[in-house]
Amino acid sequence: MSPPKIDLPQGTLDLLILKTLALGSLHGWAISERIKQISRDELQVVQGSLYPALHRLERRGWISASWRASENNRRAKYYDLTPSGRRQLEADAKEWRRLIAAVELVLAGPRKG
Amino acid sequence: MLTDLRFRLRALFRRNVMERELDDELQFHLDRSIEAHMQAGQPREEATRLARLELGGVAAVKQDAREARGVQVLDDVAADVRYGVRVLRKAPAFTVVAVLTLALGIGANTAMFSLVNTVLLHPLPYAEADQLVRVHARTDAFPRGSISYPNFLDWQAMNHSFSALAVSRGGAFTLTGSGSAERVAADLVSADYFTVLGVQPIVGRAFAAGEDRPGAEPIVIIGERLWKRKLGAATSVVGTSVVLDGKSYRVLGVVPAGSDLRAVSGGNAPDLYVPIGQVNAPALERRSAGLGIHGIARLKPGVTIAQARADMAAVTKSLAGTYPDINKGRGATLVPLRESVVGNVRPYVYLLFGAVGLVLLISCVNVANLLLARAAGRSRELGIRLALGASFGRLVRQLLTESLLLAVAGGALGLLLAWWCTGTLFDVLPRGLPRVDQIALDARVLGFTAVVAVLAGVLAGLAPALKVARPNLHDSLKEGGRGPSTTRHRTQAAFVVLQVAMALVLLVSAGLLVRTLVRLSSADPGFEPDGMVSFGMSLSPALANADPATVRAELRRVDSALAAVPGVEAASRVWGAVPIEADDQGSFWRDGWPAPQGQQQMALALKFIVGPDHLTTMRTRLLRGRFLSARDDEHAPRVVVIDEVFAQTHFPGEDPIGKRLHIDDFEYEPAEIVGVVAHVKQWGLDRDERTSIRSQLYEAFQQLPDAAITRAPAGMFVLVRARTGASGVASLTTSLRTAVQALGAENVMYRVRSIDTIIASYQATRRFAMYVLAAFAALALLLSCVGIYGVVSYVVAQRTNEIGIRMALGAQAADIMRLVLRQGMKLALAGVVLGLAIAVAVTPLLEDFVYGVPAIDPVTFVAVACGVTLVALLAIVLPARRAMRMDPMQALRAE
Repeated sequence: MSPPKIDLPQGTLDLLILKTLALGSLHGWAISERIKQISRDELQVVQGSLYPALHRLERRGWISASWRASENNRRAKYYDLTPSGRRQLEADAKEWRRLIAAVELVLAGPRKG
Repeated sequence: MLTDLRFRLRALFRRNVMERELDDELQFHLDRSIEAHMQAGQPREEATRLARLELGGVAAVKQDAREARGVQVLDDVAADVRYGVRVLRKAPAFTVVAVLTLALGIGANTAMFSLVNTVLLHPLPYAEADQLVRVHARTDAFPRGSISYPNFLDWQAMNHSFSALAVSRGGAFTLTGSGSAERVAADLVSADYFTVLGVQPIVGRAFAAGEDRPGAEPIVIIGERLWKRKLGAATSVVGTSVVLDGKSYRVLGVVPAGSDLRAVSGGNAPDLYVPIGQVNAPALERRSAGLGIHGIARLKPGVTIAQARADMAAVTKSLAGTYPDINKGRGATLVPLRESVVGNVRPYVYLLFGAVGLVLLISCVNVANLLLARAAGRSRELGIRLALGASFGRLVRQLLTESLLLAVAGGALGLLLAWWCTGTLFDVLPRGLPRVDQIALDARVLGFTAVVAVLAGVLAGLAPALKVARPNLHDSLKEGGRGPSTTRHRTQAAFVVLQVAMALVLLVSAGLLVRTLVRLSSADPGFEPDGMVSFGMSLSPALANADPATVRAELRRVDSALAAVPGVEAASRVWGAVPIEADDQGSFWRDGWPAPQGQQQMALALKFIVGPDHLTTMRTRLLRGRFLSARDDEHAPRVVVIDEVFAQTHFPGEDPIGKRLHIDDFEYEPAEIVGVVAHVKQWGLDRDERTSIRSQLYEAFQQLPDAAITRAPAGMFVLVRARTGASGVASLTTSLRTAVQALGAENVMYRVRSIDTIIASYQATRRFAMYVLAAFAALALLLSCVGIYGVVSYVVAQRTNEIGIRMALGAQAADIMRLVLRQGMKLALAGVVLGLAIAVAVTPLLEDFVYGVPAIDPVTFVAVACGVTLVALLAIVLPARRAMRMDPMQALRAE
């Protein structure tokens, strides 16, 4: 058994989806696989939250959906990053890095000087 | 934002497609997941199990995804609407009654608003119409009197408030040379009349400065309608000539009919416009003359009406200093054009609008009551929904959706009703309002209807919704659907009382107007209007330059010809004032009084210049002495006849016969009074007593001085008494026209009307208001009866069980009848009493609309109260009879 997977903090799933789609269009299953793969199995997207997240992002106009043939020739719903989604990704990523850096600073503790 | 909306809308309207796509998407995911587990070595069943486990509950995922699509609220509304439509379709009788009730209320309101919209709200068809002001001369006797031409010229030169000031005067010409001779209506206007209004000619040009001076070249501007009717709408008409009263006028241009000042004020546009300098009377140049000249001015930008009034007060004061004998006490009255157009009718329109608001309120209350009664059968359904976790707000929303659906349907139907009303109904009613022919359902009216419909829906639905959505859960589930019936019953009862009261107030108001009109039509006008015709007549233009003797001879010939027309009992040519139709006052001075300072100080009386058969024609009573006769001609001593008011005012306690009067000026011998006749109500039946100049004076036509009688052929009035009474008027008109034509081919007869029609037209606005108000009141009564009927039926249904027990215990049918009647009549009578109390408080506000009837008129009040009670009784008896005929066994089983 592998160690338990990391729970995704609130709001990070959107960021991950956008980032994953920045590399090219994917369907829902592939998105969850890709996240798992890139994070070296550390991050597991709960399916129950993946699809609501995809629909929410589509409503906001950050991703667009279209039905296409999948790699094994079945009909699958593919998602693409829209220009506004790309801008959102950049903004969110920057925000995220600032947050990580700040959290890191706090965790490192004040240095005695 | 836009993507968001598009997405939501797609989610809402293409929900099936979206749902299917979501299913497909999740299925695809599941399949891939199973494949992955099988590739990892799991058998198919185990792989499927693991995959499902990972995905979580499909339903929950789908719900989450749906919510992510953001359509929950819209979904709820859509569900409410679908549910509401289903519920309403299941109760067609209720739905039809409710929708019809609302349609009547909303339709009546829409029709009334379209009237308000056109008559009061539509802008006048002029640029910057707010700057336009009507200008009149003011004296104590005439607050909106005629401006004399010299005074007008001074006002024009001396004021600082108007960018332009123009005057106009109504007149008429005989148009010859373009087809058959015809009498045409003309406005005689000053040069910048069209400039003030900002009216552009369709073709040609308007008058230029100086062209309106006396003695200038005769020119004319043609009105659009005459241009189309008589001149073939040819643009080549400019520069040609038309012949008016035998004189040639050069045509300058053509102006549109719609923007004419008379047309805007609810009258008819004149056929043509002639410069005021063409007025063929030496009186034009007289500063004291009242020739029916009135002003229209445009305020300079930024000048207020108050500033203009102050300015004109200074101007007239200065002129009073310059010409004290004429202008002393003569001021100016300035009335904003809009006020002058709608000022008289505005109270009527407000009255009707208020009334129609009450009708809407009654129909809302009706629907509220229907909803309450219906809710009785639904409290179990609602109780279950509450028990299943629906929130209070959600239930209220559901119930309001239902009433709004009713209101929307009612509004749509009401719009149809209003469209019919404005298109058809208003055409049948008397033309009592300006621009009433232009009524149309425009965007503003549609918006009004939408707002009213929503308001009605909320108003009708709110009280029942609040009441029903808060049932005692336990009780309503237990009671088998009867719900907390007592409180609901109390609300319904209160509603019915209110309805009856409002209907009664409307009926009393309508009753007062009806009584006023009856009173007015039965009032004695001082003569017999039935069977009388009046018309204008002008003789051949060739007589314009004839000598006095020729004119007098021609007038005698006309008199005998008219009297000889079959069906004519008597005829009288009239000049000056015409009974009911036209006013003309003359000044006089009693012989022997110390000579006055100037004409301004002389006393005033209405002056009728009439033929010897005038009294027979009018059937006015002779009180003393004799009337003017054919012997009172140019050779005989000058005589006059006065009316009773003149006698009481100027000869109190004296015998006026034989006394002498100077008339108009002191140039001629004073005239001797030879008789006294009854007073003729000249100023309209209801206004006569309130006007300042009521004394009346009769002079013989043939005794007019030479200078005056030569102007008679240009136009006079003729009054004719038909031998056959009112029924012969139509055929008489034809024979009169033949006779007038036979006297001279270029003679013209115009404005032929029966005196009845003229009197009726004075009451047109009031009559219009009466018809509409009566219709509203009838509607209110009908709706209230539906309300009473509904509530009593409901109570009977509620008490079926009790009635059954009573019958089983030996109660007779009559007892049951009495029981229901007592309960119903209690409500109706409470409504009547409340209504009477409100009416006593409200009807004094109607004082201005009512004449000859006290505002708190016992006859009207008692009659209406009895009528309402009787009609209410009828509405109660119907359901009571049903209760009476109930089979006790069935009634007992009704649980």
